[in-house]
Amino acid sequence: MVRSSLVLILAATSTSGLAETPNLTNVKISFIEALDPKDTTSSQRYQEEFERAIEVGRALTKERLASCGYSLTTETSFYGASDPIKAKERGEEASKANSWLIIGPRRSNHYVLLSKGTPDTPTVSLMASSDSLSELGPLHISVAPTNSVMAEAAAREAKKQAKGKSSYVSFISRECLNCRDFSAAFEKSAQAMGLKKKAEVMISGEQPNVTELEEVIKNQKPAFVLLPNYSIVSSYVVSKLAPNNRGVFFVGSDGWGDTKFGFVQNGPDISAAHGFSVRGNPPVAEGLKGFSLGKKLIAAGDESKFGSSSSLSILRVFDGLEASLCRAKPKTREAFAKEFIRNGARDFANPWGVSIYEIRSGEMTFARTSKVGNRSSSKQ
Amino acid sequence: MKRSPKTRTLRQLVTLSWVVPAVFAFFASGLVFGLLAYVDYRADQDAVIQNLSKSCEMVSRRVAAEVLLGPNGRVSEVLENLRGELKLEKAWLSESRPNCNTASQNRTCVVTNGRRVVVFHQMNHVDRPMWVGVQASARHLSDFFNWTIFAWSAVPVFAAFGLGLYFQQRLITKFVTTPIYSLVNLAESKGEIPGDWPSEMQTIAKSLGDSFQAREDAVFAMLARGVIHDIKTWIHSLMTATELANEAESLPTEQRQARLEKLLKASNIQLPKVRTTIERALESGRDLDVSPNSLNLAQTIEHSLDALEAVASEKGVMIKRPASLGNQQLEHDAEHLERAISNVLKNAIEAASIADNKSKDHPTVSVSTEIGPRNVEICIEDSGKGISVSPQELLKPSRSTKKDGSGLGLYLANKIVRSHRGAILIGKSESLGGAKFTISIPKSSSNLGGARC
Repeated sequence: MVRSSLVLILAATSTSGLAETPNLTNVKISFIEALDPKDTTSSQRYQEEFERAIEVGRALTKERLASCGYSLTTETSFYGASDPIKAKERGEEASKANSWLIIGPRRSNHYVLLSKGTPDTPTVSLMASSDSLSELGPLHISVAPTNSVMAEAAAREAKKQAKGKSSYVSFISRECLNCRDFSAAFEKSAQAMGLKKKAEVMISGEQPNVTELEEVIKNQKPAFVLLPNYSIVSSYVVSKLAPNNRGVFFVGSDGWGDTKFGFVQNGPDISAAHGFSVRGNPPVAEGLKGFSLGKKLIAAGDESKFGSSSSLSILRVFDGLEASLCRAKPKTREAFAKEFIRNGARDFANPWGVSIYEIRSGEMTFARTSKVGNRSSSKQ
Repeated sequence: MKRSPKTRTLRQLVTLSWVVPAVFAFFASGLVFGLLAYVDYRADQDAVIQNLSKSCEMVSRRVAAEVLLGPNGRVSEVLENLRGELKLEKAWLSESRPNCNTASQNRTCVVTNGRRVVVFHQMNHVDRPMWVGVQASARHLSDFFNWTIFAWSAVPVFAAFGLGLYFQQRLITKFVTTPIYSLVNLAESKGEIPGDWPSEMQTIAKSLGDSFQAREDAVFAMLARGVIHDIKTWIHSLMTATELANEAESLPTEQRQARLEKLLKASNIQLPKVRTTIERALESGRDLDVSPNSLNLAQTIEHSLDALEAVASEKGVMIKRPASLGNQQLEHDAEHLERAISNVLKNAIEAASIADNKSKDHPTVSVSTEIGPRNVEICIEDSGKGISVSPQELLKPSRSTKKDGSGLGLYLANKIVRSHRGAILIGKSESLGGAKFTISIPKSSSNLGGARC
């Protein structure tokens, strides 16, 4: 079905006659992403959808970009997530290959490394959320909100669901650096809102020993448990703790994945659990409504063909690129970089705020978005 | 100094022939075992270095990423995580250049110190020289020597050698030494050869039997020749006396009477000897049966001289008889000793007769005696050419210096004298220029030597 839609889109653009318009300025865009079979979000399925989103983005923007005097060339490069320095190397290669724009990795540390290799080339991360991205300068921005923004939204939602209770405990993966960042940001916001962290336990491995965690909950009697970990760890802990602690709800971060990818609803039984997680993106169908290219896709009836939030972000990048090129009409990559510095944060801004996903009866469902703090992770 | 060869038994030699290869095999196996262990050790060390180099490069890249992340980077945590993940003993970051004992290659250098292997890798991507070091342990050379396996592998080797030795000893006993002893017995008794013996042993048995038969025939022939020789000597004497008697018809009565008396005397002496010799040959074979008695030695010597007087006359040889011995008694077998003296005397007469007929001196044989404190010597000298061969050769059987000699005369004489515990000494006659034979007989069985004639 997806392929047939693509064919339709491509056929529509090719029959317009604009594809053959001469003197189009070629704009090269490089997509660089980390994949690893061990990574829950880096599966073959993810890669296929990633590449499909690029094709759809190209197809959807082709006509208008051509009318603005541009044609797009895309280049996709995947590498192993266990070797982050490759992000920098691939970024350097893409810069040398005259890429106008580099769509960088989702992981914050990978994206920071990419930016080290591309000091003069504009880059956009699809999901990086580290607060440190703000220090990279105006050439490097992320579509996703920062950890601080998501943590603030999570704390606000937790306070609301706690219904007057104020204590919570945190179980954090020792190996997950981003998880610790989120926990720290959450604590900062929660403290400001009057929530009190009673205990923080560092856990190890994908199936940590939950006996100690049970003991902590029993002793501290928290209103909720903060689990800012990857979905495979979080789903295991939730499945073990929820049946005996039905009065406690669980709060997750974007590591829990979304409704399609991740282990929270595709792994062990979590039907006894309730709670929520926060993410930088709403579900695709919802997110498409937030920007013009998405609306065009909905109009074409293909909004249900993508499942991952990365696909949504990819389409959002194409949307921002189209807007930027057609508005400023830069003739060189240097001119585009200048335009990116001026308006990149606006063109590639997160249009959705922080999305809140609720967990009930073993299902993770999108609830609403929360507009808090800054909308993108880059300072203007 | 020459060491006298030590005689070993066949069993000892066979044992050595197994033990020496077994020891050699043991040490050769040990050498091969050690070489294989060393090759494995080197391969393991190379593999450790190779794996460690890969790990070091990986750690270097991961740490470089953390360094690039600046304050947000977690160098220590990443190092610790990778140390556990890659099963390294140590992983650390250094800003000083390591002191490598191997040449740097591709920004990597290796330091080995016994079991410990350290690999350093200079980080890329960072703005100042930084090195990541990782450490692991290679296995020690001794770890590759599995002594238990070696010991157990030596057991079948030694068991094989032991069993081989045992079975070979048994087979040699069964099929070599025992059959050889049996062969001798069988060859002597002409028994049947067992059918289950190996074909080689059967062949050897047959050859040995034939050899024994040939030896027996030779001994029998020698015995026969000895008897014939004696009889021939005596008959020769009788014939000579008979010829002289026949020629006496034309002589005056007194001379004729003397010749007839000589013939009669020769007959009386020689014919009983012939009969006795034939009887003994038939009865006892080749062994001498000496029966010594205290007898008059002069009489024995006289009998010998008388028996050959006719021969000497016929050959024109003059015999100088010894001075009177009086009534010298000597323990001896008169008949055998007379044979011995006769044989030596006959040789002397023949030697003197054929010496040099043109010589002015008359062919002479001198017989003398000397009585010492412990022995009696009978010296027989001739005027012949002397002896050209060694005395030892002359006394062996079938060794004759004469054309028609049997080679048994002196052999039998020596045998008879030795049976009297005496000896025949052979030398040159100073008085007559020919040979000198000294028959020395001890006065009693305990005495030897002392007299010189």
